[in-house]
Amino acid sequence: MFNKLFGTIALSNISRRKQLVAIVSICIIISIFLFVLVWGTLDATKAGLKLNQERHGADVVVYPLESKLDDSGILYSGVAQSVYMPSSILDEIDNEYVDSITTQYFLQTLPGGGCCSTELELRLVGIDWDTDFLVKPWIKDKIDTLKDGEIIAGCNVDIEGLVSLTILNYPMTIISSLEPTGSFLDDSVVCNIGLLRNLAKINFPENPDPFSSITCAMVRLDKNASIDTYLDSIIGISANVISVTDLQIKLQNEIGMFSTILTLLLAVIMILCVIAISSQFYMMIHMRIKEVGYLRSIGMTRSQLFRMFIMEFGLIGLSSGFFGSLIGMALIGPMINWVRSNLTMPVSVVDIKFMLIHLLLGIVITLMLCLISTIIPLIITNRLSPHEMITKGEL
Amino acid sequence: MFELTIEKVTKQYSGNDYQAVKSCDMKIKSGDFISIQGESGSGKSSLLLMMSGLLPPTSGRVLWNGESIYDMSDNALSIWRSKNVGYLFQNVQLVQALTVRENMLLSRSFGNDPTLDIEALITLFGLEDEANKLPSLLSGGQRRRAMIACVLSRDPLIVCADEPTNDLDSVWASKIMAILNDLKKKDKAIVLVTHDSRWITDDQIQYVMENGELNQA
Repeated sequence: MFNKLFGTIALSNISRRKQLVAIVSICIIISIFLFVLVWGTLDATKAGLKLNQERHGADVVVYPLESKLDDSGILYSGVAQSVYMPSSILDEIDNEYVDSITTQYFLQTLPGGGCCSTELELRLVGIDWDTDFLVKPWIKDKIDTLKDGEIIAGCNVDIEGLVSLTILNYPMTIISSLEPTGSFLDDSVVCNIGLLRNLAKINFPENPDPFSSITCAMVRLDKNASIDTYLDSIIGISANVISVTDLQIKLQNEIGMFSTILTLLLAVIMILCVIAISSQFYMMIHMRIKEVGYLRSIGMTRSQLFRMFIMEFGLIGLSSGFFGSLIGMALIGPMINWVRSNLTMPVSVVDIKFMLIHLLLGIVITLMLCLISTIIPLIITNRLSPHEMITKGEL
Repeated sequence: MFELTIEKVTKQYSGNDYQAVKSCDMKIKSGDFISIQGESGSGKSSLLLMMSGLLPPTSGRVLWNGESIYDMSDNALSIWRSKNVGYLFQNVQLVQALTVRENMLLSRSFGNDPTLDIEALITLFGLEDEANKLPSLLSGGQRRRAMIACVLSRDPLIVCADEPTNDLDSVWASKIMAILNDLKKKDKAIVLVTHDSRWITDDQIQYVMENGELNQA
């Protein structure tokens, strides 16, 4: 009975004070939306880096000097570029510290060029199946070889539902897809390097001879070899060299710094929000101070009063927080894409589980926000005796 | 059986240099009907509020069966109020978001008897047509009757009535006084504060309050 009547009081008061409720709701929606968006993006970036640390099989990446992308752009962005280096670079980078080397050849499709059955701009990564150690571990299905005309889609490539497609006027069959890797592979389509070189020769005759060119070389070092020693041993080669570990540490530091700044910013927003909501809640209580005094006079305890207001403010908070979380969720995808393409950071895949966790987090934060915002005005109000509440309400 | 004792109770409101209530003593036992008469501003309402556990005195004690109510925790005092004291405010107090019936149900949930017949009270106070209305839709007299019905929904041991016949026509005023008088038979105590001598009868324990001083008439 108690709770039912509390519920009736809460709903009735919400509907009677639409203007104040709207102000509170807007405050909550904005702060929770920002919280979910920023926190979700940070989480996706951290998870992406962790995934990349666990799954990037190469210790060193070698790529052309002419590349316009920086180190992290090479490793994490899905940006395609037609820049190549001669295969002879392999002779310069292969030495006693090396366990294995695999080469890759990149091409990109031309959307609207009429060459493909998809309008998507795809980055095609040709791999050498015999030497590859980078792609194979993350193929979802068991595959013995990658034949001409067979492709494997990265986890972010939007070709779901397709079985076959034409790429650069060549019929291709999707035989599998990749697990998330937190690297450029997530945004790429993988095929046989021999076929891709043939397609390059036919479709891009202006490119250097594809059979004597590569886009990058992935180097895995011997277990006992140190990266620094290896890097010293190949100084002066005519290509860019990335130490994957160094890059990951650098990115980890950058993300850590971003994370601290954004967390502080969020904390300031949350504090401001608590102040704004508290003052609105205080007004809502103060407008009914006489009624509160009456309820105290008939025996309502402070904890029952707290429960009554928590129910009322919780209703406002929950609905606004849920709405704010939904907006945050809706924008998290575009935000992550922006981070991936503009900040070239590894970003994990945003799936339903990720969404639900952050939706729940948004709701939990809302409840905490409402709890804190309710406690402050109620402490102030509860200092008054029931009689003082009634006489104050009569002013 | 119960006893409420007021012992040398004074009240001085902050910002005022005079005492609204000056060292008052009184004993209230079950079955008593006490009336306090006095001019406006003589301190009647302040005394009533203090004995009801709604306003802490500046000095002195209010004892319930020997225990000082203002030494109780806030929680215990709230529960004490809910079970023992029904306060009829001078100005009508009801929860504006609830209908008359819901107000009575809420009030009953704090009281002594959760099975008390609310419908009988609605009939007793002539509120059959108003029971499902919000207080804002009622006339002054109907609101007053609804408030008294709410207080009686708690079945309190003491009813502190501060000018209970305000807003009521003479017929309903007489009926309300009769209802309050009947409570004596159920071993309840009634403390009536009024400046209207019509409601003072010889069977009441009569007090007069003047400039904060309480004297038995």
